[in-house]
Amino acid sequence: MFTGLYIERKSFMHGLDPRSKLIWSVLVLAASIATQFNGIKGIPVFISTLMALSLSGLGTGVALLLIFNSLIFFLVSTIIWAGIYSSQGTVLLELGWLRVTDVGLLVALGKFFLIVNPIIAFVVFFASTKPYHLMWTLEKIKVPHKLALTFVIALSLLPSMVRVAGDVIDAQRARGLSLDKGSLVERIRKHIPIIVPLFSKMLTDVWDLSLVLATRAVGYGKRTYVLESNWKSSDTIFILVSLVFYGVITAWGMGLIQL
Amino acid sequence: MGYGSDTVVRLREVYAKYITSDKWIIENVSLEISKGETVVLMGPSGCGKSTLLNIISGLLPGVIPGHVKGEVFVDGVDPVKQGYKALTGKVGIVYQNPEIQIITRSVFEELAMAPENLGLSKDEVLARVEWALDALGLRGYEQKDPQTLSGGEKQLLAIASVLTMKPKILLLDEPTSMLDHLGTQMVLSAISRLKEEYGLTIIVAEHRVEWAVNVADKIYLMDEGKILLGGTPQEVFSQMDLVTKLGVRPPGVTEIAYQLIKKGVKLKIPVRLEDFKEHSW
Repeated sequence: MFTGLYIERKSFMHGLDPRSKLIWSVLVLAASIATQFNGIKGIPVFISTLMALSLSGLGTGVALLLIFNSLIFFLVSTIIWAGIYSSQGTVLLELGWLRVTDVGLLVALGKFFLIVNPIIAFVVFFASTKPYHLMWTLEKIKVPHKLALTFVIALSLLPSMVRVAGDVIDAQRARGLSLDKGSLVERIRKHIPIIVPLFSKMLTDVWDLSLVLATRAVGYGKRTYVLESNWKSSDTIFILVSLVFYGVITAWGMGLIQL
Repeated sequence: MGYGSDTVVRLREVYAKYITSDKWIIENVSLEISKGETVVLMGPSGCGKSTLLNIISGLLPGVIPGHVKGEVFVDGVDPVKQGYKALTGKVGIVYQNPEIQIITRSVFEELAMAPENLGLSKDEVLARVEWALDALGLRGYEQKDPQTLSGGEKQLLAIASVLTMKPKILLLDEPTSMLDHLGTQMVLSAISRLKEEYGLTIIVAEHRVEWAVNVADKIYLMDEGKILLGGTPQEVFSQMDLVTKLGVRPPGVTEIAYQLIKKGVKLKIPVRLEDFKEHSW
């Protein structure tokens, strides 16, 4: 089913035209790229994505989940970039081979935001945009219909895969599979009885979907969209504010202006 | 082309198998179906009913890898040679599992999908959605999430979403096999209505023989890929010995008649309860 990552809510972000949300997501990405070498400059972008998350009605729970799961990534990022920039800047921490300088920490933070900010932005975009309108938006920017449809189907498969994986794990546990016992290698090997049926089920579901799509004239010709989205004044204001805000951040990140 | 102007489906000496099959799944099948006829395919699981429907819809070999030989003509099109897309809008197929056929977030989107894909104008798409809502009794369900519908309602939605293409031929592959009693009644009633009110050509693979004899113009009994018996319900089920040998369960009244005949009672074999009215007791 084409549910994708969409979550039904009545929120400011849900009410925006998907084109304005797509532009906003790209602006977040651009600003994150521009500020990747100085995490301080990436903080405003991070805060703005959290605000968007709040305005999409997804709740602080989702935000906390995203942030919590990304802390490990921040730790790894710090270690990697601290190592690369260990000879630059003032040493803040030295533990054996690990040498963290202020420059290394800023870059680590910048790289962290480079990944996390666009992820949050696109989560907001996909969660607040119906798959129907997502396909419509992609075709509006001249993405071929089959490619747009493939993308929407791929997004739909993500929650399906999580659900099926849960079913398979429950079924295998009922058959005596114990996933939390044994060494690391044994635990990895024990996931084989989950991965194989999972992929088998997903392939079957995708095959069934392909038959249904074939019977619904997919790919016949240029598609009509009855439920087109309408650009509103709120979209114009949102885009103008975003262009100014992220434009300034991007210029700041690239060193074109000083704040 | 060599067939009557009323003939919408013509298969002559058709053999078919899937790419993974060693032997033919459909063997030497020949049949003709006229416009507006309702044909029921019956037989044990694995006898080739679904394969036959896939051939008529053009999905085999167009989408499902396989081999088909023989003459296949559907509404003037040879889908084997011309490709399954040549049948777009002419043939609609509905499968037994409604869950895999519901792919959008609302009943409206589901109904609009096929005519939108055909590139019809917005007005035409809306008109067809409105028609389908009324034809299948789904008025008032437009904004509902299809996942909240009952099994029978989902299958009605699946049928309606195919009908919005305004096909001339509707194929149904065991549409009630995964439904409860109430859902089954909903779907079978809808199919009967489609036949009576809209004159669609309907080909359905179905086990429910009491419904079939009341609705079908022709019944074909299949086994191991072959059509063993075909004709009107009366013609098919009057062949008591062959029906019994095939292991097909006839309608209840017919079964009673078979037993009476075995005990020496002379009577014309009924297929419907009202057929008994012809007899004086």
